[in-house]
Amino acid sequence: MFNASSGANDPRHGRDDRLSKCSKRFEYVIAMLAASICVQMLAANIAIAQDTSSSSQNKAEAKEAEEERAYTGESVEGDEENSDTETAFSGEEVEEGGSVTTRAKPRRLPDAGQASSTVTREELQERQPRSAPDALRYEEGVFVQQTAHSQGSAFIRGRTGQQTVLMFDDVRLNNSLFRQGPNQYFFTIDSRTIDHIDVVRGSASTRYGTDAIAGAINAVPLEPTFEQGKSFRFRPMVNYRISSADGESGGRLGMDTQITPNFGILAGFGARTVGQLESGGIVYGENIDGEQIVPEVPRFEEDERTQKGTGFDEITGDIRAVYYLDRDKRAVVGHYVYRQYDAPRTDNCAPAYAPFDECLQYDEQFRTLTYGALEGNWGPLAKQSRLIFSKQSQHEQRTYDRPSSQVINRGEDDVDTYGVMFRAATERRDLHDNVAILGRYGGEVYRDRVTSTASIELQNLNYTEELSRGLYLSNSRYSWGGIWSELEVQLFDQIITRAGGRRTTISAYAPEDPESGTLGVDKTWGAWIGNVGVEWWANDWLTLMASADQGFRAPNLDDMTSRQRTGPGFQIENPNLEPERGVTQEVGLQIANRHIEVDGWLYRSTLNQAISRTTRDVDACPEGGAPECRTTWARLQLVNLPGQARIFGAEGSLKLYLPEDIELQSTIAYAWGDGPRPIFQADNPDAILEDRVPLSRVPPLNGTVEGIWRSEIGFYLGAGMRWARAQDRLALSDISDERIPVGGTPGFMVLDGRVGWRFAKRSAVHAVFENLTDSAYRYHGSSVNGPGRSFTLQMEVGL
Amino acid sequence: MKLSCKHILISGASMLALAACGPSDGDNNAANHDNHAENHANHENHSANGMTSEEAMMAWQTCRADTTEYMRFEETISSIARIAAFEAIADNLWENEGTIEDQDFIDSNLLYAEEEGLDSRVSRREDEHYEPVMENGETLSCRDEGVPEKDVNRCVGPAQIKPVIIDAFTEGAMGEGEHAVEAAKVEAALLWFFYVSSYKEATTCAAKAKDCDSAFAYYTGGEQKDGGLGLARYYKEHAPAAHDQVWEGLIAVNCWRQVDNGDEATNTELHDLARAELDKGLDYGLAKLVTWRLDEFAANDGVERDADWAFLKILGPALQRAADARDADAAASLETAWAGTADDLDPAAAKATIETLFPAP
Repeated sequence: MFNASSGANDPRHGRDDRLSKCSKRFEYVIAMLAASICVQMLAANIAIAQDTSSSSQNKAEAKEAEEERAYTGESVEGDEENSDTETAFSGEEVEEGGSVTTRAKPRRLPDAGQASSTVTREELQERQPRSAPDALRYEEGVFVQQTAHSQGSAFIRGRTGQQTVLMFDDVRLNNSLFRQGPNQYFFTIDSRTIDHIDVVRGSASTRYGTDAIAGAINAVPLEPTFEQGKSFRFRPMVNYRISSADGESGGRLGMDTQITPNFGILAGFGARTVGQLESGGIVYGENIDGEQIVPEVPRFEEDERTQKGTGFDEITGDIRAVYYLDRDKRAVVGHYVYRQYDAPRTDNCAPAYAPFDECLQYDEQFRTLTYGALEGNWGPLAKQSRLIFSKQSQHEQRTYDRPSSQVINRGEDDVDTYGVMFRAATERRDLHDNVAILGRYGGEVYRDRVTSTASIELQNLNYTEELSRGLYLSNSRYSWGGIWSELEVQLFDQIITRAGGRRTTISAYAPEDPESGTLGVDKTWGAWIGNVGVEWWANDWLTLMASADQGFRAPNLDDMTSRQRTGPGFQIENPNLEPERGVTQEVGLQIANRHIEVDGWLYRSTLNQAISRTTRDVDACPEGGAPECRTTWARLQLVNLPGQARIFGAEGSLKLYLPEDIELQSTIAYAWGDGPRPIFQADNPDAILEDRVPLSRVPPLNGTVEGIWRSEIGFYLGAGMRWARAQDRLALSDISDERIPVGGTPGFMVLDGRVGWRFAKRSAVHAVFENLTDSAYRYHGSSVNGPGRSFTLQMEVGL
Repeated sequence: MKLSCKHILISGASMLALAACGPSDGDNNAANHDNHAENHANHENHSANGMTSEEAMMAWQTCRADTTEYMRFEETISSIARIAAFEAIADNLWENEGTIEDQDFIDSNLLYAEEEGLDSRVSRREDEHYEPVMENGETLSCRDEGVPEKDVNRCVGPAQIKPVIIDAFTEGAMGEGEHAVEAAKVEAALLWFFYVSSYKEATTCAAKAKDCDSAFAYYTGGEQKDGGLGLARYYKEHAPAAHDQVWEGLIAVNCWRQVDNGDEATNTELHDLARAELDKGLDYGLAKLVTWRLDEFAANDGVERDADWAFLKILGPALQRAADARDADAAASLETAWAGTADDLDPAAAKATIETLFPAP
């Protein structure tokens, strides 16, 4: 599956070097696989010994455990397909996620209390996304930007990056090195390990803490399955996928093992190699004279379709063990490994205006996440709780190669994050015939430790000089934590009100580096924030909602200490940044019955002291370091804008359940944002400045349409359409950003076809025919044009 | 179809500018455009302010008469940092008052290779004296694979200047060449780069006013006439008349763009006049640098003479195009001289030929 020779056409990589690197990767994967098999074999032996004595007891408990599994999200044999859907439309009274819920809530998270949606496993299979971010392309209010083929960043309501909390199974991925603007980190989740993805749109800082200004995305992993009445069961699974647009070839080998009736392990490893991405062609800019302008980004091969600076290799591994302590308590241990190699950053490979062979590449982009969780019902005050201990390591190794100059700039950044998270919901309590209450509460503490190095190698001289600092400052530390609670009150079986609050404390430390003229950071911030919301179940099919949530984000180490080239220019640090705070107000309605679901929201999101880029004069360059600060064509620095940035928007979705098992759904989203003009160290002090300017990279009006027919025998046939109007409301930094064509990003409409057959419980073939009209298109803000006409084919076989 | 180059231009009295046309030295060679609304406004301003040719000429001449200092279009000129790097390299190498060590070449190479520094611009420099490289009716960029080899004169940076510099650093740092000789190669190659760059920026300034700033900076290092770093320092010392003429040329370019102040300049007549004046001064100055080094060559011996010859082997041919344009026959003798050996060179004859071809202004 893994092609050891991938990238061999790159003359800068010697074959021996490649083989050596590849060999090391395989060693790692094989070691992981062997460890996983050993663990499962060992556990199986123990299980067989226990089996005889415990089987009768476990049979009795199985039924009760089944109820709990609905809450934990675990798959249960015989109910594992469409279990969410069945629950959602059963009309039965359930307490999903602790919400006082007595009616259907299609496609909403059970306890979100605000705009939200879920990408189901079924949708993941049928859409065949290339990555975790790609899986969100059809989600309401989500717009996926790609700076590189190996990266992807979800914009929620016009914001992304640091302003969105990313989670994997409730463990925060956000760390203090998350970059401003689009970043690649959600890509470092293997989409093949995901069961579903929950998306909360709008500020969610009360529940999710700092950064959740635009929303939160939680990728929920696949679980080992349990089969009632069986003491041991071993199910191998394999899938293999190819894609014509980028020559992707790879798959995943997994093992779903039920070792005892209450202990299961899901393990797997995957690998894929991805080549250069063929697009539908050049996406032109257009100047005021109507002339077509070829953007500097991306660069193309001679066919003017195949994009340079794309392609990568990837290896993943995971093992997840679930042990039921009791019928409603369980322990989970997970270890997830993501390894990405040789992934060029498309907009810098080659950079705009640079020779063709210069390239900034992520040689290594790693994430290792290990965590243990205790979950379940620990009494009326912690009826549904999760306690998670986690350790996450993020590793990046970059090279900026300038072959004709015989210069290589290298950088390596590592951040280790230790975290503890707890959340719980109380039992529902009836205070009166018409009044019931439920509480939720939680807290978390995370701590980052950073190492960062950089060097420059003169290959002609066989000389390497270590620089005094890297992208960040080694030995920097960042800690954040908070406690929160929410109270939910249900009145007259018609109205639910929610109110909550959080206390957050964040501290940042970075040592100074006199050699490079870097000032140190030693700051602590605290904040109180809160939210309120109300739902009115007007009748059996209509729900009206309104909420307000305060957002809060403290500047992270990237904001305060990084020196880096960005899309619009070279960015220098600002150790004096202060937190940005905002409020999101939204109103929404949901209509749901057996035939139709409608979801519509209007929102207004404001941000005070918004952290935004501004340009700087040479005088702002640090003394003694960052020579490129003086030579670059645009110097940037993050500042707190002296007023209020705001985004207004609307989004909606419609889903129809038609006869003959046909489903149609459509989404639409619009956002409009502006903010105070950044204070320039004026290149032109006499210029009359407009008070407000567009916010950067706010997506244009966009939407999707999907239709699918699923037969009873497992066959399905569907089609999807993604569209976006042109975006020519550009921030100043957008105009200097080569990722955005001259005059703005043109609109597009892309048609996808899908067909597949689930011919056995765990076996299926899925095919996606992408971009049927071979359109040349680009999501606003991306460096990469979308794939041209192509197909993706996946085979899944499981026992 | 055009290659892109984006910039928000400060223009008129109401538009803020954030330059982003690649480099501040305006390295892309095609005309460029930017924000629609702002451009429309700029175009309208230009139309509204449109002058007849005579009026423009008069305004230009008045500006030149009244102007003694270069007026920047933007406060920040990133090219200045590249000239500063050149001066630092000079201190390490050919103006090193002590003994040049291997480490001095390493340090110089690091300065040269700074991101967005000298190397980044040498790597893409095109000589606007030559026509763009064309193939199948399309203009090719010297940044693209295989293009520099198609026209080494147009693609002077990647095809000619850069290899000389890299080799000189390598030879110098590895101890494989005489330090003074390798230093002279770096010196000559970078002066050649500045000579080409100043004219190039004055040309592309038609599309972006800020490129005029780069033309100014590549010559003076951002200083006014009395100061001068980089090429200006050499001209002031070895060719004062050339310095005066180049300065007048820069003021001419500056005034042309002040008069023709739309987003894209349209008065080609003034542009051509201004560029020609600048070009003439640059050519004359370069010729004087060559004759200065011919004198040195004649006076020196040993390693110093070898260094002079290395300098001449690089900067002499750089003068060839201008020489050819003046008298092809006379220029041919120079070409022969540079192609020969040091022992074959008759410095007096070469100097005489150059002085004939490039008389004092």
